[in-house]
Amino acid sequence: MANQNDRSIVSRRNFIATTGAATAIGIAGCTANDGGNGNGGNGGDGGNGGDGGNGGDGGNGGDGGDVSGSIRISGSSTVFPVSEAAGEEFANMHDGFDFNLSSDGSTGGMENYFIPGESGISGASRPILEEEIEACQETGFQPVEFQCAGDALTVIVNPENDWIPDDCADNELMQAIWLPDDAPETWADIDSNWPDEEIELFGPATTSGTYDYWTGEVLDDFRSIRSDFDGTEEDDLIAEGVRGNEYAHGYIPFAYYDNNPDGIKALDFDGGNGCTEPSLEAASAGDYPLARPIFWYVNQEKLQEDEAIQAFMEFAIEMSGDQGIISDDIGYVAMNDEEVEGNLERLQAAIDGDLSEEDAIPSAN
Amino acid sequence: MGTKTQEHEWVGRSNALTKLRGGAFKYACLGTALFGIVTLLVLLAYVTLDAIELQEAEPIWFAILGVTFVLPVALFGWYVWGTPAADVAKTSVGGVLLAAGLGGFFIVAFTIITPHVWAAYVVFAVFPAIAAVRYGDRLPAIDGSGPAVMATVTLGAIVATVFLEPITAIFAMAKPWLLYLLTLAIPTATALIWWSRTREDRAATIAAAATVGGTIALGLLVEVGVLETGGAPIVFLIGFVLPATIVLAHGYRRGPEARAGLLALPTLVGGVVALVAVAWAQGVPMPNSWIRPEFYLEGPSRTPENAGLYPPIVGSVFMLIVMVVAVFPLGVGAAIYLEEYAPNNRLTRLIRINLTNLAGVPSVVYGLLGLAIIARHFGLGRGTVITAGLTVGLLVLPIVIIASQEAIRSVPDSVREASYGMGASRWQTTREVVLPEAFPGILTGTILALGRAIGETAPLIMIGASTSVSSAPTELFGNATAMPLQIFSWQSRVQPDFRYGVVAAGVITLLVILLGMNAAAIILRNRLEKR
Repeated sequence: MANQNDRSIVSRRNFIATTGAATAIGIAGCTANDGGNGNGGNGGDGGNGGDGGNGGDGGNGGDGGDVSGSIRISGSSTVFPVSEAAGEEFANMHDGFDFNLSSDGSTGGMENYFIPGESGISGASRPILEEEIEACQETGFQPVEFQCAGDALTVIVNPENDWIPDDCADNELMQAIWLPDDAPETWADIDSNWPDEEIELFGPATTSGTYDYWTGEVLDDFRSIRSDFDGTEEDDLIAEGVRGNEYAHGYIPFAYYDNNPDGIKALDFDGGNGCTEPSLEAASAGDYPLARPIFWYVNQEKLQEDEAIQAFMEFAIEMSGDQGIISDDIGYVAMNDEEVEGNLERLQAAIDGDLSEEDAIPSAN
Repeated sequence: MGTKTQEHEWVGRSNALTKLRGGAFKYACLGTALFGIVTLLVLLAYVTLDAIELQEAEPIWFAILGVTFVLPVALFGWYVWGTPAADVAKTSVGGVLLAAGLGGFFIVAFTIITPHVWAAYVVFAVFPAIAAVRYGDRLPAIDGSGPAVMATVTLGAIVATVFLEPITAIFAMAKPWLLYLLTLAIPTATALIWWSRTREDRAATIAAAATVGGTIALGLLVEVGVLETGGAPIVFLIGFVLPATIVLAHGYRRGPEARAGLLALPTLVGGVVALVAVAWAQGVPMPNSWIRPEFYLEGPSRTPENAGLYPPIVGSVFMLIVMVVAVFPLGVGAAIYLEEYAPNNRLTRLIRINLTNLAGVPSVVYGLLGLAIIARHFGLGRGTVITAGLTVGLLVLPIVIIASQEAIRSVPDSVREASYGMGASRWQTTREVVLPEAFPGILTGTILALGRAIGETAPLIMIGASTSVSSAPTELFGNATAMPLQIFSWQSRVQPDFRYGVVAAGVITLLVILLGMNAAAIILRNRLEKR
């Protein structure tokens, strides 16, 4: 019955592809670049390790169709593209599998969906907090952490900004600008040689994991920040804001800088070992001080019960080592083979129930 | 003569200055009227450019476009301008496009409602109800067929719902195309013929025959294996052929001179075909449009090239269906009570005033209501189709009530009084006189309200709807996303192609659907009011 349904959807799609082509042409007065050949699947996934790319089209996903079920992934907008890529590739291989994604911020996804047990997996761009682990255990499950990629947080200014020495920022400067005590109004308040113009600040909203990382690791004062900055969940708007004002400054995930480098300038960062330019290579080699891990948290109870989550997580962890998807398509640092191996072993242990509480959350140690 | 001059002088005291002031005021008002429209048009032009990347096209492509498409269409337009043929050209093109939209809606709707479930409800609720209409008044001890109809519909729906599984299991043995033929094509065709029986309208007969014949033909194609088993072509045919045939046949019957207008459609389609053919033969690439068939067939993707709107479209339509089922009876019922029955006392005045307030309550507030009451208290689940449909339904309910009230109020009292004078009761008057008269207005109001509902985003975020869903929802308690949510989530993606191309294509799609619904509402009203 389910199989027949799938078939009918495929044929339906074939049909829409052909008639739809005609209708769309009629309505839009324009046409597709390759004129709808009625192929329901998406063959063009860019030559990355996705050999399953052709599993979903032809209508006979028979061999790969043994995983079925629906999973819900909540959480950070930073992790969203990685989760989506994993879901997309996995759904291409398994006809009976579908996924729902929402982008609620690390804290929002955790509190509203993951802790109450509504989502089996939640993405976070910062390590899980002690109180969140406790809340999960109170609900009755152990969260298990898997790092899914790395990001290089990037400090940006307007290209007109030429007064910061060597275009290099450090913790001290960031603390001087962002901490609520003695918050400077103008650049001259920090250094009298700098322009006497108001600093305009842009950053992620306080529900964001990026904000948590920034206050915790860079400002060294968790969740403490001056209140007069423009906070948003849209990283693109931060870049937009800095682009529009000569005296503006903000911080964004590297992918957002990498995709829109026009009109903004990334500062090098000195974490004590000299100035380093933000790049995926530097982050992956451990040279860039603002390289931060981003995570999936999995509900262990659901993981043990639900074979769809098991198979999906296994696939997702393997995919997190795929340069083509993680770095080239999305713009994050891919996991190395060793880390992928380690995560796969921990996944198996979590499924078997052999995972100690310590090993479940490596970031807590 | 004399008085006239005097009058003029009196009104005027009009020297040059007052004339100037008056003129300035008039044009200032015109400016305010145009401001919003022009701003929106400029924005839309940008979005359209982004969606089909026209600015990237080569000059030679524009030349081909001009020769193969623009020139023939312009010549045709010039030829029919000002003749009855122009009217036929407009209605035939518009009607066929709307019919295509209806066909698309049918495909999506019957993705959600499987043929078996559809057949179950038709056989158990609709067929007995038709029998009751036809033969109900022959029953002893029943005043008219009304009570019999109500009873059979309710009973049939309950039976079909309770025994849905065994019934669908039985129907599953039949071929889907056969079910569509028996429970969709033939009943629709019969209803059409019956509805137009009083007028000499061969169009309806032709349309009915085309629909039934087409369904059988497609069914035979399925049998010999040319088509796969899916019902999409059949469902599209039923939604498309019926209205399209009627529109074309009516155009044809406007006489030999007007008949030329029917050539508008072949001109447009031929122009596009010629454009594609010539461009292909000359090796000129078509513009890299984001609006393309794959966009409507794919689900979410990390790459803009593969990202599609299929699950959100189905999600939105599913929510619309839930809304119509929940809101239409409630809204019309409330309006009938308030206009026909309610005494003018404090309570009803309070209700009337607060309906207007309710219509103005911000949508996030309804979102919170949906989250607290529908999702949590009634336990219908966060982000499910039914929660989303009911929440947004609550949001548009006051609008539906107010629109229906106005439609009912516009029925003149003299008509009611005439009905009472004939000895009809209030209920009979409402049913037989007021409602048929008010129906076009009610329908229009409801469709316009649904048009607003389809663009709502805030309540969906509040009830925790997912932003990306990989496959189209098939059950009421499944998770779904809606078009505006998906578009919003694309806007925050890293790749510029998402934020410009894909978002633009999504916005255009949403607008086309919205304008299609509004156009359908206006056309329906004009048609029905003419009767």
